[in-house]
Amino acid sequence: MKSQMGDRAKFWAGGTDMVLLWQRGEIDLDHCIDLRHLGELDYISVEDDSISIGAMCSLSALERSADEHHLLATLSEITKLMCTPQTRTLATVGGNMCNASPAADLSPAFVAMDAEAIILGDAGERRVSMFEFFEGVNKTALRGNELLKEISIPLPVAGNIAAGYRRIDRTVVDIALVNASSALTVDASGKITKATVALGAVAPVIVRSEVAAVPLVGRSLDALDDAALAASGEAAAGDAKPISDVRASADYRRDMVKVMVRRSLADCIEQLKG
Amino acid sequence: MGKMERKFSVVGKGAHVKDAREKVTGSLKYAVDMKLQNMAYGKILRCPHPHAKIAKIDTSKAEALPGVLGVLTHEDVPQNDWESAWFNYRGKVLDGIGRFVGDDMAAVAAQTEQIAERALELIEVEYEILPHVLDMEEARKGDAPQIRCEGNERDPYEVKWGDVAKGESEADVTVECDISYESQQYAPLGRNACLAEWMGDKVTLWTSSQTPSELRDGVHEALGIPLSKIRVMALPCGSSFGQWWSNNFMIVTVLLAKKIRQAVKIELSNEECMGTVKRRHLERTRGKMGCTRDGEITVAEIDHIIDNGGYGFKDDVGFFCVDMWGKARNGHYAVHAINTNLLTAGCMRGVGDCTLGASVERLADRLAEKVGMDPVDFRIKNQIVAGDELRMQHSRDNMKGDRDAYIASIPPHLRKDWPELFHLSAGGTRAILEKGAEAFRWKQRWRGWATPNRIDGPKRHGVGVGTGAHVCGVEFEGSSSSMVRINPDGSAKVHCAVGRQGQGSETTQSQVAAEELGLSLDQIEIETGDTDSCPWNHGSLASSTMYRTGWATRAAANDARRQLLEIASREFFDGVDIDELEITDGEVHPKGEPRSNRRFTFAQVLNELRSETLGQTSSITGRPAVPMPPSTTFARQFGAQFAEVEVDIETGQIKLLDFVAVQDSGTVVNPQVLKNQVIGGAICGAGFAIYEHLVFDEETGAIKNANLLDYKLLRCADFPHQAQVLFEEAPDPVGPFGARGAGESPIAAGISAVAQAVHNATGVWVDMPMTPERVIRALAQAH
Repeated sequence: MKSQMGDRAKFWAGGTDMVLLWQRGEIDLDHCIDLRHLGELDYISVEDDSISIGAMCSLSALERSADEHHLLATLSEITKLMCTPQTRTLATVGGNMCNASPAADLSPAFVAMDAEAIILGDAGERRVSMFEFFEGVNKTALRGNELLKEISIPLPVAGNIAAGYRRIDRTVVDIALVNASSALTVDASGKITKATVALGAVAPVIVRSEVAAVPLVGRSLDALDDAALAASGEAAAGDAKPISDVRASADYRRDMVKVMVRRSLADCIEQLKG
Repeated sequence: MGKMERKFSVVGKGAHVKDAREKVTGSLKYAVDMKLQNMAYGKILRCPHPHAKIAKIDTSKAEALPGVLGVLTHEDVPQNDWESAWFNYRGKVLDGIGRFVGDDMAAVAAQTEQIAERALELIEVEYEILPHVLDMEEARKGDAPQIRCEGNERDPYEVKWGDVAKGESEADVTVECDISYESQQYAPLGRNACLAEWMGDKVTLWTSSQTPSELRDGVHEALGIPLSKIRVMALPCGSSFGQWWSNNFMIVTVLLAKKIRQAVKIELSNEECMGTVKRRHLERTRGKMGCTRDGEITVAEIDHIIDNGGYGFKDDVGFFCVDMWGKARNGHYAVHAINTNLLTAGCMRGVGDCTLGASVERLADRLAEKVGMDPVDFRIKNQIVAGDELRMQHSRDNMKGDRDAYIASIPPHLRKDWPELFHLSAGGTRAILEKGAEAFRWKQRWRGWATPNRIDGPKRHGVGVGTGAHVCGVEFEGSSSSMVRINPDGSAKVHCAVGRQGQGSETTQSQVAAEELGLSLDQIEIETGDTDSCPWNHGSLASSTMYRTGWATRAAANDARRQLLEIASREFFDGVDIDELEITDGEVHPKGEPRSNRRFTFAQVLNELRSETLGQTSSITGRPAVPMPPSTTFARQFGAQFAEVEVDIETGQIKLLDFVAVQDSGTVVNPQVLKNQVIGGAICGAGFAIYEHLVFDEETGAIKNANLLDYKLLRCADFPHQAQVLFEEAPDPVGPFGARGAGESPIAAGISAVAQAVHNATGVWVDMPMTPERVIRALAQAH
C-alpha cells in the first residue's frame, strides 16, 4: 500500500503526534495508512537474551509490563512521565520512536540499553541500533516503504544490567527540558563491564556520550563513589550541544546534564545492589 | 458558621452550581458552539510588525476569491475611540496602525473559514514601518517612539500619607528592592468567538463575556449608535479571569457583519486567544521600607511601573496592598503606567495584588527577617483590622471634591446605612492569620528565616505565609443593578448582567434572591447575559459580583417581596401591615406561623390579582430603590495562605507539598463555590509564582509561547491534593447577608506564601516566576 501511495502517505499508529502535526498544518498528506489493526505488532516478550517490544505496543501496555523484567520496570516508570493516562492508551512505542523527537522520554533509555530497531521493508527485515535510528528532528533511518516492527533490547548472557532515567520537567504534564538515561552492565563479580550514557533534548538527535563511560567501566560497583558519578556527568555535559529556547537556556541544559547523568547512574547502582 | 445556619435557609448552604449538569454533560453552549442561520465566517488580518502604518491596502484579489463576502479595513470603520471596562482598551476599532505584532488590521468574511483564511493571504498591504519600543523604561524616555496620541506615559497615580522623611528617620532598619515581574497570560481553557447579526439598524452580539453591559457601551462608543439599538447576549466563558470583557475582535465582528449585511462569526484560535487579546502587565517595583526594632513599619516608599502594551490605559493597579499594610505610619506609593509595542495588557485576576502586592510582602518579609520576627506576627502587627482608616482614598477624587463635603452632600436616606467612609467596614487579616497558623501548625513547622524545616539530600523543604487583599467591587463607572421578576406561576427570575465565567455567580446570585424571597434555590432562574432584559451592570470584575451585584439583587428581591406582600395583605390578610406577614418555602403566612392554614403560594397571590382585578399587573418587577454605597471606601476582602515547598537545589525544581488557604469574604453564601474560588486562586497564584510567563521576542515583541505546551499552567496534580480551605466570616454591614467579595485576594496571598517558602528552604529570594533555571541562577549568585 505504501509503495503505491509513496510520499503522499504516512503510517498511522496511535495518531497522537500526527493529529497535532495535522492541526498545525505541518504535514500535507493524501493518505494515512492505519496500522492499528495489526495486532501482530502489539507485543512485549521477554527471552533469555533479549526483550522485544512490538512497535504497536501502546504506552499504557508498556506501563503495565513492569513486573515482567526490571528493565521493563524502568521503562514503565518512564512512560508514567509521558503525556496523560488517556493519551497513553492511544500512543504507541513505535509511533513515539518514529516521531523522533529529541526530547522523547523513551529514546535515551533505548539508546542507553543498546536497543535495536527491527525494520520491515520490501526486502525483508534489517536491524539498526536505536542510536543510529534517530537521524534528526522528526527524521529516522526508515527509508521508502519501510516500517518499524520492533524494538529489541539485548540482555547480558552473564551478569546483570540496570538502567536509570532522569529528566527536568515543569508541571505534571510536560515534555523534558533535558533528559538523560544510563545503563550499567556488571559481571558476576560486580565489576562494571559496560556503561552507556544517552542524553536527550541537547541536540537534534539522542547523544551517546562515550567519554561519560570512562570513569565507570572496569570499576567495581562498590567502588563507585559520588566523585565517579560526578565525573561521568561532567564528561557527558561536554558532549551535549544544547540550544537556548523558550523552555530553557543552553547553559542550564548543560548543567542539568551533569545532574541527570549522576542521578540516573545512582539509580542504576541502587537497582544493581538490590 | 453555626449562627449563620440558623439564621438563613439558602445562604450559607453548599449547593452545586446551577449549570454543573450542563457543564459535565457538555451541553452548555459557549460562543464557539453557536451558529446562526446563513452565517458567514470572519478572520482577522494581523499586523506582522511591532509598529507600522498601512500605507496602502489592496483588497481586490481577496474580494475576487470565490466565496469571499467582503473585507473590512480601517477605511470602513468610524474613527471613534472606545474604551473597555477599567481602561483595558482605549483606541479605535481599526485605524490603520498596528501597535504590536498580532494587532487587528483588517477582517475578511467568507462562506467558510478556509476561504476566509485564504483570502487573508490575498490582501496586499504595504506597511510604513514606524519606530517601536518594547521596553517600558525605554518608552518613558523623551525621545522614545510615541505609541499613542496621549503619549506613552501620563501622570502617576499616587497615594501619600504622613511624612516620609520622618518615617525614614524613625526606622531602625530599612530594606530596598528592585523586582521585575513577567507577564502572566489568562490562558483560557476555552476559546472565544463573537457572532453579530444586524436587523435594520439594530445589532445583536453573541459572545462569551463577563461584562455584557460594558460590551454594549463599547459598541455604542465605537459605532456612535444608541445603546437601545445594541443587544449583547453574553454566553458563558470557559474561564476568563478578566480576559473576556469587551474585546476589540467583538466590535470588528459587528462592523464586518454590517459591511456584508449578513451574520458573521469570528472564532479565535488558541494562539489568537493567547497572543492577540490581552495579558497581565509586565511590572517593576522599586521600593524601600523601614521599621522599628520591634517591627512597627514607619515608612513605605514604592515606585511601581507597569506596561500597558498597545491599547491598555490603566494606571491604578492594585493599591489594596497599601490598605492591607496600612498600619505603616508614613507612606508614598506611585504607579506609572506606560505604553509599549507589546500585546495590550489589562486586568487579570488580582491585578496589582499579584505584583505590587508581592513586592510589598517581600519588603515586609525582609524587614521581619532583619528584626528577627515571625512573618505571621509581623503581619498581624502591621496589617489593618475593621475600623482602621484606609490609605487608599482616591475615591475621594472620583467623588469630585472634598471628602467631608462629599459626605455632607449625600441625602440622609441614602447615607443611613453607610459605614464610616474611608475606614475598613469589616474583617482584616488578624483572624485569618491566626486561624491559618493553627491549622497549618505554623509555630511547629517554621524554623526561622532562611532555615529549611527539612533537608533530604539536595531537597530542601521550607514553609511560608502570604497575605492578599482586594476591593469588593467598584462604583466609578456606574452602579451595578439587578432586577427580580416574580411570574404569575410563582416562579422568580433574576436579571443581572454579570456574565458567567465559571465562578458560580449564577448560583450565588440566585441564592441571595431565594433567601430574600423565601424561595428555595431551584425556584429561582437567572439571566446573566442579555442586556435587553438586564439593567446595567459592571459585570463580574473587581471582585464585585457577590458584593455589589449581590447587594442589588437582594434589594431587587426585597422590592419584589414588598410588592408581593402588599398584594397578599390586600387580597388575603385584610390589609394588615406587611411587617405582620412572612414568607416560608414560597408561601405567604402570618408572621411566626409558617404552618398556619392561612398561607398562600406566590401563584395564588398573583392569580388572585389577575383574575379579579382586570388591568392590574400580573407579574412583579423588583429593583433597587437607591444605589449601593460607594464600597471602595470601606469594603475589602482578605486571604492568608500557608505553603510548604520542596526545592531541589541542584535542579531548581519546586514542588508544592502543602497548602492552607484561609479566606475572609464575610458571610459565606455558598461554601462550595467559595472553596473553588479560593483553591482556584491559590493554584493560579502558585502558577504565577513558579512557572507562568509569556516569552516575548526580543526584536519584535511577538509572543513565542502562545500555546499550552510552552505556557505552563499548574494542573491539579501539581497542587497538593490535601490543601485545606478555611473561612473566617466577619459579616459586612452592607454586603448581602454580610457577604463581601472573594475572587482576587486568594491569588495574591498564595504567591507570597510560595515565594517566602522558597526563601526559607534555600536562603535566597528568587524573582517570579521562580522557574528551575532562575532558582539555580539565584543560588549561584548567592554563593
